[in-house]
Amino acid sequence: MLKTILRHGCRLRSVVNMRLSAPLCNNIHTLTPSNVQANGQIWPHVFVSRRTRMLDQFVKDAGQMRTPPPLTPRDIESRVLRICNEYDKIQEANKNKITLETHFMNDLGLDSLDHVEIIVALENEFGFEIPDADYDKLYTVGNVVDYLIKKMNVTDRPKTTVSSAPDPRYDDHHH
Amino acid sequence: MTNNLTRSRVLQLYKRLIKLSHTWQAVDHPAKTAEERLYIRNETRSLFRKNKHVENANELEEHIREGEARVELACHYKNPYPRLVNLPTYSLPPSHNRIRYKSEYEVEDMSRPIYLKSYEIKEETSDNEEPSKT
Repeated sequence: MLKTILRHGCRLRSVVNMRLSAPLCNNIHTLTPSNVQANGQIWPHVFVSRRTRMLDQFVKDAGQMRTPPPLTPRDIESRVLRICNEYDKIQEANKNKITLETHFMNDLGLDSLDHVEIIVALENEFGFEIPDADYDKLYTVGNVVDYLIKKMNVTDRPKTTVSSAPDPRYDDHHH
Repeated sequence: MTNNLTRSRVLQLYKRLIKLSHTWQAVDHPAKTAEERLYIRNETRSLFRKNKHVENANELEEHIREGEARVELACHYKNPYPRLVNLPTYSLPPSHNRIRYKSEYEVEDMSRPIYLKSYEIKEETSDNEEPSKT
């Protein structure tokens, strides 16, 4: 609702923030005659369209803050790798070489206490509790990613959302 | 022999402490929240690693009790630091000038509370140095 008001409002009101210098005003007269509105004012079409685009982008960004983008498996994988890299017990040499096949205990030399710490960090990141019975399954990075995908029901293609907005740019969020 | 039950108890205790270190709020000195969180995290890490090789079942049980006691005390008094205790009555501090008999060691072990179990008293090496607790 707010975005429709903004969208229509910025087209009707004059652009008061834009200060046009005198030579620029003279040059605008040379633009296409479609710039001239009914009341004779020269409406600098190029400035208006840029400001509209900026406002539309702001509205779109604000709307996207309400619903986060849907998760993809690659997204989960990158977050898991980032958390593993941030863990301070891992040696510097191994830091950026963590792949899906690295085993926490065999390859990185961590012990079960470090494993618990990593899982607690993952719980904080993804926001849900991992029960103790599942710790045995989570000894490699690949297993962790698969477990998270299964738990969060992440599919490859994000579901298409139904919205009432006629503009396909605003289909990412709902009112 | 660490069977799976004690192992899972230890790991649950560790997990509880790590989560405590993330959500700890210092009540007495609010400016020291970060410092106390760091203290909790480092204490759990160092003490758990120091006692990692304990094999005796009774000792293990007592160490688990120690961890749980410290967690409960910290949550109740809102103070993560352990309350240190003095020597028991009618006993002298260890020094290199004096022979300590076995009974004296036993009395001292019995008098120390459970939550200070992992802490050691270093013997004095000279008269000028004070005994330090690690």
